[in-house]
Amino acid sequence: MANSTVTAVYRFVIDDVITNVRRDFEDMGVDETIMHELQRSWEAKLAQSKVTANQPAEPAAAVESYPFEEPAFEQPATSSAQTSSSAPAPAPAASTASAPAPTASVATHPTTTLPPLPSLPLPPVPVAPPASAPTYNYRVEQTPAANLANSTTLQGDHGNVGRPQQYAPSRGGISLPGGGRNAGNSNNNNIPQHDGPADAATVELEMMNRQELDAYIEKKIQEGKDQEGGDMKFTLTMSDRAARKMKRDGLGLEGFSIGQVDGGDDDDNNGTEDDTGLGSDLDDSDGDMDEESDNIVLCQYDKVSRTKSKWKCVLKDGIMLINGRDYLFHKANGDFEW
Amino acid sequence: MSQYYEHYRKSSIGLALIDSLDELIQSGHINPQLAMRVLAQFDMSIAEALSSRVRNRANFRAHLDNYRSLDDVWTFVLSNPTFRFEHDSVTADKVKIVACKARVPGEA
Repeated sequence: MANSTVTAVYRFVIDDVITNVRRDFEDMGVDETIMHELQRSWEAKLAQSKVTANQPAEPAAAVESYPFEEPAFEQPATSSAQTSSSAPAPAPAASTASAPAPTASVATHPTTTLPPLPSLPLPPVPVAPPASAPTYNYRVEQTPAANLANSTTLQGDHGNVGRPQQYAPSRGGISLPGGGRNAGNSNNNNIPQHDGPADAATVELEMMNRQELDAYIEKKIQEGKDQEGGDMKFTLTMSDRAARKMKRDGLGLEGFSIGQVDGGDDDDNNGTEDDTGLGSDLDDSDGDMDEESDNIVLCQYDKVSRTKSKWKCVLKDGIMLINGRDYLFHKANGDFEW
Repeated sequence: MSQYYEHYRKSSIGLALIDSLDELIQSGHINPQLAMRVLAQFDMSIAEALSSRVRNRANFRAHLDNYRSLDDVWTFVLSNPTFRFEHDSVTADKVKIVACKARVPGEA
């Protein structure tokens, strides 16, 4: 009965580890309650992995410690994925709590209708060190970047001061490639950059109401079309900007894939596609050697020998995870045929 | 500490420990250095437990799909293995074996 010893052995390992790291916890000045929390959490996770199923011998300790409200899982692999995705929760909470610095600077600016900062969602990236100092540094690095991105946005939208960002020209008169609901807005931003003497125009724009702006945009578009080659250049800049804006607004890929047709996109999506291509190639070449199998045996070998296609091996000290249950062996003989 | 194999960390009990340590690190209760100490202790404890507390033997036959020996680590991918213990037997459709070279626990 290989399995009946599993719980006893695991009990021994947990107790042995906890006993022997007590000194380390003391040396690091970590409270003993944390150590007990570690033990409790460890036992709970092990119980939840159900690898010792059908082993009623395991005492109530494992059962009572269920407050971890992760959904039940079968494989330890999923368990690690699960916790690593849910674990960072505390850290981001702390960072958003102290993050209002950039947000506040946005709020005080006339244009309060800016979309959420693109950099704010970043902090959930697991910041390894728990100490508050490194986390703080991380945020400090973030902040200038956020402000920078912010200020560029503000400059670009200068002609738009005090207006809601995401209004769309309601009439169908503008029919440009890549036009979406942001088309009108982007035109507004890009025109002054496109033809040089826009400085005066920008000032004007601030005074216009919506109808006047729409008319102004249409006029500018017409001018752009009339110019030699201006049309093409115009389209490119606009779709690029529209794409970025779509991303900021959280719209899906299909939203700005229209603009992609004329090759405006540069960074994110192309990179992802390339990576996927490379990754799949590597996976293929590596074959099934590294394929994640649910069943795994971790052990040591005394001897591995082969005659023709017959393999014999003598293994020892193994932990086997087969069909979601753990088995242990002290010695094992294996015969394989290749 | 380093003379103990670390590959048992990938077992269920090892992964459970790593998860728990991860959570404590994320919540700021312990630092990674302490977590590494705990894992090193785990390497020792599991090695001792397996060598001195487990007595049962197993036999198994299987079709060998793939094998590799690299840096004294054998990796076998078996299909349709049958494991026989003293009292019961287990079958699976695929299993991967990772075997490090045997050594007495604690020996260099």
